[in-house]
Amino acid sequence: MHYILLIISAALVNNFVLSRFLGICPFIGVSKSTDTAIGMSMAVVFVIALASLVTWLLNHYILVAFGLEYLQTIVFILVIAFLVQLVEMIIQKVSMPLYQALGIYLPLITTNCAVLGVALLNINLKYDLLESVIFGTGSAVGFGLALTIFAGMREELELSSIPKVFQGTPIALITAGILSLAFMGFSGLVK
Amino acid sequence: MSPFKGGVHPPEEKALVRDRAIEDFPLGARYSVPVQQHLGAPARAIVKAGDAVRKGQALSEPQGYVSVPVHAPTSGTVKGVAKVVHPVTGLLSPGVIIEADGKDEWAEGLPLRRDPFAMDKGELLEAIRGAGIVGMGGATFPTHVKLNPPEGKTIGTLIINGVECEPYLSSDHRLMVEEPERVLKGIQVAMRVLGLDRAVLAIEANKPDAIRVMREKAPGEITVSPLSVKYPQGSEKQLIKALTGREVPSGGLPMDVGTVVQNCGTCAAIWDACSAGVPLIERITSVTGRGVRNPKNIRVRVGTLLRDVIDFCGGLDGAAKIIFGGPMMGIAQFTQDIPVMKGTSGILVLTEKDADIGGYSPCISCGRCVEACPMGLIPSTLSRLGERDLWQAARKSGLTDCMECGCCTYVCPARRPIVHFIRHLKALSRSAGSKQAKGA
Amino acid sequence: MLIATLVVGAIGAVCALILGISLVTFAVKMDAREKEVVEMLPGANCGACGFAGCAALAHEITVNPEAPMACPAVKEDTIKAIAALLERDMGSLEPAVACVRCKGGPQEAPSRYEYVGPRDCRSAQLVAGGPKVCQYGCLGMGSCVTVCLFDAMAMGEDGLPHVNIDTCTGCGKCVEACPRGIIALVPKTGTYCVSCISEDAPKDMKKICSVGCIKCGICADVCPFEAITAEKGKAALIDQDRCRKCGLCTGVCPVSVITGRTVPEKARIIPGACIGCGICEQVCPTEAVSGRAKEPYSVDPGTCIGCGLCLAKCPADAIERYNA
Repeated sequence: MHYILLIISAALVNNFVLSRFLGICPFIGVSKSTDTAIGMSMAVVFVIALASLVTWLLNHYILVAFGLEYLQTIVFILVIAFLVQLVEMIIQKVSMPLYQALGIYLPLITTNCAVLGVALLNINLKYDLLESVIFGTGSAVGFGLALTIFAGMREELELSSIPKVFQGTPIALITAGILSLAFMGFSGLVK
Repeated sequence: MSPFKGGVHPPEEKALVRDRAIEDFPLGARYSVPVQQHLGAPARAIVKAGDAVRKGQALSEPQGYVSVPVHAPTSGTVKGVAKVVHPVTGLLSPGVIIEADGKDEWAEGLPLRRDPFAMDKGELLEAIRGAGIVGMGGATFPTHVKLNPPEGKTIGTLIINGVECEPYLSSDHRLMVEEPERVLKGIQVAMRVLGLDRAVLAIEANKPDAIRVMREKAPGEITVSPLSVKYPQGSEKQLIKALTGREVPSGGLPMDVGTVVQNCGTCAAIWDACSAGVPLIERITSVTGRGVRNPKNIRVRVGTLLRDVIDFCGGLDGAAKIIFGGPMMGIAQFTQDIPVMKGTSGILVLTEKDADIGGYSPCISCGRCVEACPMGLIPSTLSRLGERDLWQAARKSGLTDCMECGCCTYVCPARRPIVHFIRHLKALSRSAGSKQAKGA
Repeated sequence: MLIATLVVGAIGAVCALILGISLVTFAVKMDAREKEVVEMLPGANCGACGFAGCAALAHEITVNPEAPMACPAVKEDTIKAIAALLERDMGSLEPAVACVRCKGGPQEAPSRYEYVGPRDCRSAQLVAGGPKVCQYGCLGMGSCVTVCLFDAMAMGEDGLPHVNIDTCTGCGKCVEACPRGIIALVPKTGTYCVSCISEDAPKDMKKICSVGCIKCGICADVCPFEAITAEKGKAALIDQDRCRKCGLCTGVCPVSVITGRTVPEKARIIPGACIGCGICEQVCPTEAVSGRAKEPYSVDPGTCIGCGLCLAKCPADAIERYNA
């Protein structure tokens, strides 16, 4: 039960994009089409899940053991960069169209504050290994959910007649704000 | 319980010609007979300048199974095979120009005298094909093909379309009131071809006199079925749903649900062809609308020029738009130098006010078109996709199911030309498809 | 401090090892030349070429021998280097721009009916072949303007689309969008174009369009480079490879249907190299070259039209072009 609440909290109540406002870069950049959004979401879930696992292990068994907690940021970034590079290679091999569609945003997952945020939050909230991985995966699923919903909305917006002043990024940001408001409805679901 | 989903109720406007008896259009001096007056493979003209022709003589030869010939509407001399503006495409296509000699003599042997009920299916189909019979509701699909479904398609129901759901038009109405025997005998011939022992004649309730006359005259095996008025009930798929409850599957045809639908005018032509060998050279057409001085129902020969028809009906009076067909699915014309054809059920002359010409604005997603669409599509999305040339997305949203009935355009408060957007998408889809076929 | 360095170093080394192995396992086969082309391109992934990024453009150029160099940001010597790498001549990599071959707006070319429907040329074309009497001319509803990704097309006051050659990248979307094939891609470096593709008979042109090509053939006769074909029944056509931008055709056209952009270049003779043979004076179409036998000749910049014929014919390579 605790774990289910953890997932709901990570994915919906404290959605990384819509409540914590982290990971906005791919949120705006990759949400032009639902297909790309889903591809990106899967890549992010993979990276965050693994990152949560590896960073927690590294932190617990090496950094803490040697008293090197101050190296968390550097080491976590190192691990995340490595994982993203791995994911890039895999995607390029498995699906070249997706690789090309994601373009620059794939390596940008490295600098995605949501990924580093999850890794650091796991430490700050003092989760154990299982909780870390579940929290990480749940957050990533929440990220993917927000991204896919937003992509769907933007696809509809493509077909609408938007006043020239709002075309492009302005209407996207306004829509993101409204979506964020909508997700506030989840607050209070989990204590 | 609604007979079929969607649909609209435009004002009927039938009062202009509904009660006017059919007038015979006088013999003209010149006829321009387009070679392509049917859906299907083109036909080839078999006459040339200088040839003498008699009334009912074949002018073209079909090039394929789904093809029919056209015939001379009167006797005279062929001036030539020229490029004439075709009322359906608006483009130039071959037409046989005939100068009438005033004698109006039938071709050798015509009219025949024979008993269609002694002819077998093959002979009847050949008579129908040779007479150039096509669907006279406007679609002009070759009748001999429709009455001969391929192996495996069992037909249990024959529906005769006396619905005439388009506003303004009354040609089928007057035909049923004034010449019921021709229609009923034609239905019986069609039944014989299909091997059925009964048929249903559907008539909309706004034609009470036609219903009464048909009920009186119809033999037992033909049931007259009055229907409540709704556009587009005269469309095959909707009519089948209304009468039998069966739904023709997407991309399918009426024969897929064991049904064949024929227009009542086509049945009258079938009778003429089978009993007397008379080819399809004339039809009843409603010349109507407030833009013409004397609206009439005329029995007019194929190839008669629109200009002469308008003159016969008193000339134009504040006309802004001339349409071949009805206001919902008819085709607007840009010149009067065009001929009446086999499928010209109506010539509608609209004033500026009735034509309601104007610009359009962006879609407001009100959903009226979704309610109105009889095929269950989402016309608002299709129109927006059309504005952006997104034909692939349109194909996924049921583009090919659209029958261009016009219900969506009729109800749109933003006055968007939705059917036109859909036609644009279909054109893009077709050209992309042919590019693919060529391997481009 | 030492331990910190060692720890981070060790983690780094492990990651590098795994990545090294993956590089081999997940290697993707690509044309080696394509990779080089990608590196030669600016790498900005700006999309101005009309493709999804520099990698996509590189792929197109490598794979398709007809693909133009659509990148507006690339330099002259880079184009040469790519051409050398792919063993293709400059012609196929030369930047192109769109050219609208019609001057018949609503003032010049009448309509035969009032069109009501979507504000799109292809939709208008579906209605009996379009509202214009001329079946070859511009319908003026701006489908080309709408599809342009770079805002390089705009509808003018004359009811015709105009191309901004500085922003046009030659992506070809407008060419596809025009239902009448009026728009063609031509080399960016200054060009002359017959603004009409009509195939209507000369005797009908008067009621069809006041600025349509009347197929008189005078332009073809006057062209010193035989760059204009005047096929019977068709509008005149200028061969862009032969055209030297001298502009003589514009001067003789009776309906002024030829438009052109000249490059501001002129010819001048290099005194030291000139052998005074006089060939340049003979070939010059505007009599801009003069001189005496065996002495260096000179070009009058005021009369010189920069056609380059003298340059082509000079046996001593003594003539050069310069920006006037």
